[in-house]
Amino acid sequence: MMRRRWCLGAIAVSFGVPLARGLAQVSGDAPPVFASTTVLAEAQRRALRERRSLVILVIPDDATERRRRGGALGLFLLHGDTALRERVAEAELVAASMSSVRALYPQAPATEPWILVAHPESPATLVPVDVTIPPRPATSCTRRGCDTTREAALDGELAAVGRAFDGALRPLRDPSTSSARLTELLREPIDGAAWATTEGCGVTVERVPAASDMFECGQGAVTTRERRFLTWLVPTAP
Amino acid sequence: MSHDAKRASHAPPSIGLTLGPDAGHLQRIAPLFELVDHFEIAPETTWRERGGELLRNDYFDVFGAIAAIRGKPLVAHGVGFSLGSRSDARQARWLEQMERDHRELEFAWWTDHLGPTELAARTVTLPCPLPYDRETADEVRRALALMREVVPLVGVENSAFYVSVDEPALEPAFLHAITEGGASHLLLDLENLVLNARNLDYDPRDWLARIDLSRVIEIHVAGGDDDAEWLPPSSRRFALDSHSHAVRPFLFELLGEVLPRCSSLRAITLERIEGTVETHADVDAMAADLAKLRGLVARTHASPLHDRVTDSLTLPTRSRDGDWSERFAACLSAPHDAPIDLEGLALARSEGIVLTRLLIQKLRFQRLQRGSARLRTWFDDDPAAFAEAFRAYHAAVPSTALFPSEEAAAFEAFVDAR
Repeated sequence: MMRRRWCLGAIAVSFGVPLARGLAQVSGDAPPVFASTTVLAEAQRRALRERRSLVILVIPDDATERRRRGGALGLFLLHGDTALRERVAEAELVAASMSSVRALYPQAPATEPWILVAHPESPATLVPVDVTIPPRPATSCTRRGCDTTREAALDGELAAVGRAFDGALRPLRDPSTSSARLTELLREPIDGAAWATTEGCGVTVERVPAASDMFECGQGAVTTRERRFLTWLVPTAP
Repeated sequence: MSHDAKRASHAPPSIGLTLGPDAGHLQRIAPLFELVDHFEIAPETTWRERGGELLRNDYFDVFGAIAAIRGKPLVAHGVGFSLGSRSDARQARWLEQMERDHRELEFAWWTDHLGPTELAARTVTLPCPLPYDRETADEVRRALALMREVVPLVGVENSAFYVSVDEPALEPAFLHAITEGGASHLLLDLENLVLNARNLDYDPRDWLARIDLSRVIEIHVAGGDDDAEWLPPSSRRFALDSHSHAVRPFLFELLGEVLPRCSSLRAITLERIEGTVETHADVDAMAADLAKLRGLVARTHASPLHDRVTDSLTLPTRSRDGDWSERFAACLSAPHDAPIDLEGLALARSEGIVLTRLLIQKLRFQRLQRGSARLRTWFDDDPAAFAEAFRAYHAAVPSTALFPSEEAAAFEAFVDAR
């Protein structure tokens, strides 16, 4: 799917919330972190197995920040420098909240960096990478095009995110597959996130979540909810 | 080689922790991951079912990742192979999935609970007690041999029971008959032993004095609930296998006593169920328990070791009525207040049977709540009506469902048809 740059204001990567809400609906009262932790674990295992760098796009807790980062990262992944994006595509890319990251990496930073990178030679070490971007000006487009202030701001975002990836990633390992990997990266949702499109009224999120149907154990353990049930089942109980 | 020399050549047992299928729980206990040498999981909690096919849910990768990133082994502790009952279809299904799991996660070994979780084609989920005779021991040995075709190292755990089919004093001989010959191992769950001793009225030290501990590959420690206060009013109090509290001092005492006798011991695992670790204090208490285990192991290995051979391990050979398992399954699956007719089958007091029945119903309720948002909402909004429908469902529909979605669909169909 070709997404043209002048539409950037209407295209973004949406992190976390839509996916988490989808899973939470299917799997009951599972907290949003459920989705984030599991996809991170899966990506981590793939990176280890294939000896590739793991790139974690951190899902911020704050919704505004989530949209801001999602927009900037989506902008770069769709329209950044191709050679640089091919290096990104060679890594194992995943989006996860810091609470999920800390579940698997207790030594993860206490802050909320934009990106965390773990290279195959030290898979337990996460390198934090931050990006500084100014606030985007409000959209000001007419039939003749968008105003140059916004275009310049978007160029600045592209450059800032590009610099961050450039400093964090290893050189391209296999140029023969890089183009195909990039195409694949942009076609499929990034694990833990979803591609989303907004055209000024609502957001269309591309992704269908999967359900979980767990085998029961906890034989003699009785939770508060189960105790409540047993109290109703055995009305003579205190 | 002398025993001491042989033992000295062994590495000390690793100290481990169970991982539960709950993201919040995993986050809370994450600081403990660096304190342990291995992780233990119940593989079935990473399974789900779709159209009759066993698939993985998301926790398979979570558990694998937690272990892989730290380079620590995983140990499998199954909850559903149904050791002791002839459940060919179920066990064949299990073996296929076990093989797939083991191929990826490379478990150090796989143990399961003594006692069927499927009895006479009914899903009871709670391991049920077995008659302690040669024929039944052979059945368990057969099942363990099947497991060994998938995972070379397998074992059986002494389970927690609230009712007994035979004299509990025979259990050591029964476990010995299962593991003799060296093909399979024993997982000694000290918490189960202590609560069985309390619930079935015997001395755990007598039990330990009668068992051959040379086949113990792993020891479980945990802390449980002291009482099921939701039981019908009764003078009888029961300890529950709930894995919900810190380890009791008495358990550490027993551990210190048995460690020198466990010449094949490879691991000690602290069990703690998800949903029971809420505060930093809970995590600190678990860290303290792990430290105590580490200290105990270090001291034991610094001491002279004396293996002890038990005296009488004779197991009776006898034939039971062909329908005993059917009668037993029907009794345990009945509503908690149904008449108890176990003439010649069980030694337990009636309160033990009522408790077992309630736990089986609780497990069925768990499946329903997990399997359907509609049923969760119904219970939240009107627990009395839900409980009444459940009572009717449980009395009328034998449980055959393994997974929540299947159980919920059956319940919803039952309710809709009423």
